[in-house]
Amino acid sequence: MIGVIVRAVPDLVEGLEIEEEEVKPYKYIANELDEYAVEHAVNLKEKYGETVEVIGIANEDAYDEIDEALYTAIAKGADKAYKLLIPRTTGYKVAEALSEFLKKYDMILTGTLAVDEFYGVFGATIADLLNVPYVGGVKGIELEGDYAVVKKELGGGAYLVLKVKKPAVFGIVSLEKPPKYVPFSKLRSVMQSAEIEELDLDVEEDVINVRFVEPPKPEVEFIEGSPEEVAEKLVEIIKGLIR
Amino acid sequence: MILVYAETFEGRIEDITYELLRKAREIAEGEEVWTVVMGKDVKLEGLGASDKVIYVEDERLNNPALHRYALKKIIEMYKPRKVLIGNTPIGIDLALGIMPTVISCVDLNTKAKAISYGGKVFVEVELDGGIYLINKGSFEPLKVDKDVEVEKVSVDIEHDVELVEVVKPEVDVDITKADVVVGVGRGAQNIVDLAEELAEALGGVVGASRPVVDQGILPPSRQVGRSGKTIAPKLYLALGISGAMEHVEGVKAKTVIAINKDKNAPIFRIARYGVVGDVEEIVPLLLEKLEG
Amino acid sequence: MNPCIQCGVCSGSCPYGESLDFTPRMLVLMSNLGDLDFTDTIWLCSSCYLCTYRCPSGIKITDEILPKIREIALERNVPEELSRTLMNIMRYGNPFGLPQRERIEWTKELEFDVPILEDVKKTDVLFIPGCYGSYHSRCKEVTKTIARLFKMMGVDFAILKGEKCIGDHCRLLGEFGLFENLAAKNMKLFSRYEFNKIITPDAHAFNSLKNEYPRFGFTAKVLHHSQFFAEHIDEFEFNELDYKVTYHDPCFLGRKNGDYHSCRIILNRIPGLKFVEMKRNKEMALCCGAGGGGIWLDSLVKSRVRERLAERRVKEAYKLGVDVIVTACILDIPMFEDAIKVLGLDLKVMDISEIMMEALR
Repeated sequence: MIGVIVRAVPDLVEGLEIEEEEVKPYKYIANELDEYAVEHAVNLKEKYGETVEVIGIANEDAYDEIDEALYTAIAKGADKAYKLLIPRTTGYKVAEALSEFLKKYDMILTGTLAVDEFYGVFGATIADLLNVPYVGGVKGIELEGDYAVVKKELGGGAYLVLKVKKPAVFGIVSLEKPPKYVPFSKLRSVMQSAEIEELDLDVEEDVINVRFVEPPKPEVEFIEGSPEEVAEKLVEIIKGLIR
Repeated sequence: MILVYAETFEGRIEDITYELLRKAREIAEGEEVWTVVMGKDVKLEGLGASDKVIYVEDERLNNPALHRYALKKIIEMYKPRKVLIGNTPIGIDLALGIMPTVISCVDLNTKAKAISYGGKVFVEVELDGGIYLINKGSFEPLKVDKDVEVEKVSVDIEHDVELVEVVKPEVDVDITKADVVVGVGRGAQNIVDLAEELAEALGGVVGASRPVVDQGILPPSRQVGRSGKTIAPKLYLALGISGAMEHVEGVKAKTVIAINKDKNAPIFRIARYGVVGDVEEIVPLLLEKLEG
Repeated sequence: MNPCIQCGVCSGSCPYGESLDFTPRMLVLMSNLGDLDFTDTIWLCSSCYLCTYRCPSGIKITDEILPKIREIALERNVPEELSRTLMNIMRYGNPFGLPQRERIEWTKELEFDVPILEDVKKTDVLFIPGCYGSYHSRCKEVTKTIARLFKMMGVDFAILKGEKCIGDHCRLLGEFGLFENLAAKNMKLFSRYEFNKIITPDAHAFNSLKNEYPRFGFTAKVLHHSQFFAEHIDEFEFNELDYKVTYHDPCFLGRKNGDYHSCRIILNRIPGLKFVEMKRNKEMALCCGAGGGGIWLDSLVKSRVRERLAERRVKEAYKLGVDVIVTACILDIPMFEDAIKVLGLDLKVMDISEIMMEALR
């Protein structure tokens, strides 16, 4: 049985309010790499008949918004969805709270990193708590009996092929083929028929000593004008640079 | 003691290791700097900035996927105060549950300075100890060819992870050697042919951001960034590239010129010149004026 | 079952006919027999409406047959450029994946303030620029020009900052669920405020608001901007313009909604203008290729067809020796300007509002 963890993260398109103690997003969205993990899981279900369960993790501001990602996972083929409300805390505490629940899975997938993840690697932490192997940067998974054969990206197109004994945790970084499209009407009908089970687990609050800073305003020189004027100025600059 | 993890590939120590050694020496507070190297028949060169090398000489550790278990044992044995690791596809797997890890650091002193939220926020983290995953190009390398004490150690590795194969792509073009690179991002993926023309007109090559490579529009050998290549051309022309840190990390160009529709795109932070505009409008005009 | 006689007029009319694996005639037959087969060429249809217009049996190919097949295709085989765009519309209410609050950024580029309906609550004209009119750098120029014309005329108008994609393309692409969701959101917004009519420069938005939204209870009057300006043409005193121009009839203003006259009335009023009709004009006009999702499927189209529609169309105009192609649907502009660039032609594209403004300077 495969468990996929999908985290609610700030929607960078909608923007952030950056204060010293806190970063306040205008909106939340499911972490893109976690959505890729869902895609890998449902592909494994299609190919090998695995059962897939999805666990959504969200703070109170995102607790409703994570639903869409969970229903989408079900629309793509996931068998069951859970969600967990978390306080202001670190990935380590969330992993701790979930570790017992996660023991039922022989494979756990999540994104290698979340967009707001700077303290601990969630998948790796889970693996260490469960004392199972962890491989991050995974772009492909096949199953061979008790083993998972994964492709781990090295960069520049190179990758490792690893044979890992299950149970294991994998951090997903990309997809080998485009994700499935879920038509809105299908999503809506799943929203009406499926149920998301709320997990009643105690997640400890955890505060670390951090300060958020907005990066300095750019010292870039913007070239203005009509596209023609801009192109002319650019050509002059470029010719000067590559002489 | 500050512990530096030496990243190796096929028996050679990767450059990032020397960058970490520079920083380790800087932050060492009257303590030693050790380097841990894992694998068999690794060429132990340039590690002179360390006081000691812990060499976990084990054939199984030619498989980088096993390093995290060996590292855990080393940390338990020697109890370093801080551990420095390169934020690379190999390094990112070395974040361990037993020690708090700060990811994507661009600087480290009493506090760690990390960059997160898609490059939009700097985070200053104050920690006792910890593992620090440090971005490539953050510090100048400190490669010292001096003999260092080597302590050979062996550790138990209980996990079953086998390296079946190392797959390398067929290299068509080496973008790391070019003087001019024209980067194609999501915003320019419809004009790859124009980008190629532009690159040719400037005597350079076309590079790409990850999303463009993921879609198969350009091959992986063209990928610029943390999980791609690091380029250091005279000129980097970033077309429709947002400038997410994973990409920017691979850009060490002398000058960056960026064209992007979004005036708040992080790419403008590393650009010397910027144009807020539509690449599909501007690139054809650029070509016109270059070829005219 | 519809009364299709398998005459093949639809296939013969289809501008992409030779590139389709299954022609319109075959698709209608399949629909009738309930035996569907399709390939990714199902995504080439730009909803030009010519097949439906000429069908002797009155079969709704563009609005019903094709979208219903596409609805099934969405679950099986969607080009990634399209799936990404639809997800953007679902999440952000616009195909660009840009934030909602940037929808009204264009107003900052004007010399006067544009009233926001959420603030003023009541207006005469609700101006709906549409997604391209709000976010696209070239199309925004048309939106600003229209706003300036309204100001000159003393029109009491406002815009909505919460406006979402009107959804006509989604409907034509078979994403009926998304279309209904967008319509519901927009109508909920409309219902909070008072206005007498909607004016839009996007012929597809015009079509959906006029013909589709009423089945959800929408009752307001909807005008295409060319219709509004034609109605008020006597209010304008145009200067001489020494241009040779032609007019491209947008599919969803002309063929679909029967308006071939509004822009011609306007152009006729501008002194000095030399007007030449294109060979294929009015009900026979050749589509620019943007409709039915075409504007988001350029990679697929490029890989499958001999020549893009927009390129064929601008060549047609160019052969007439005109200086300007005048268009009326805001989507025509990026399509034609792109084609002109690709072909390297010396030709200008102007929206009807832009040529009006030029004659008023």
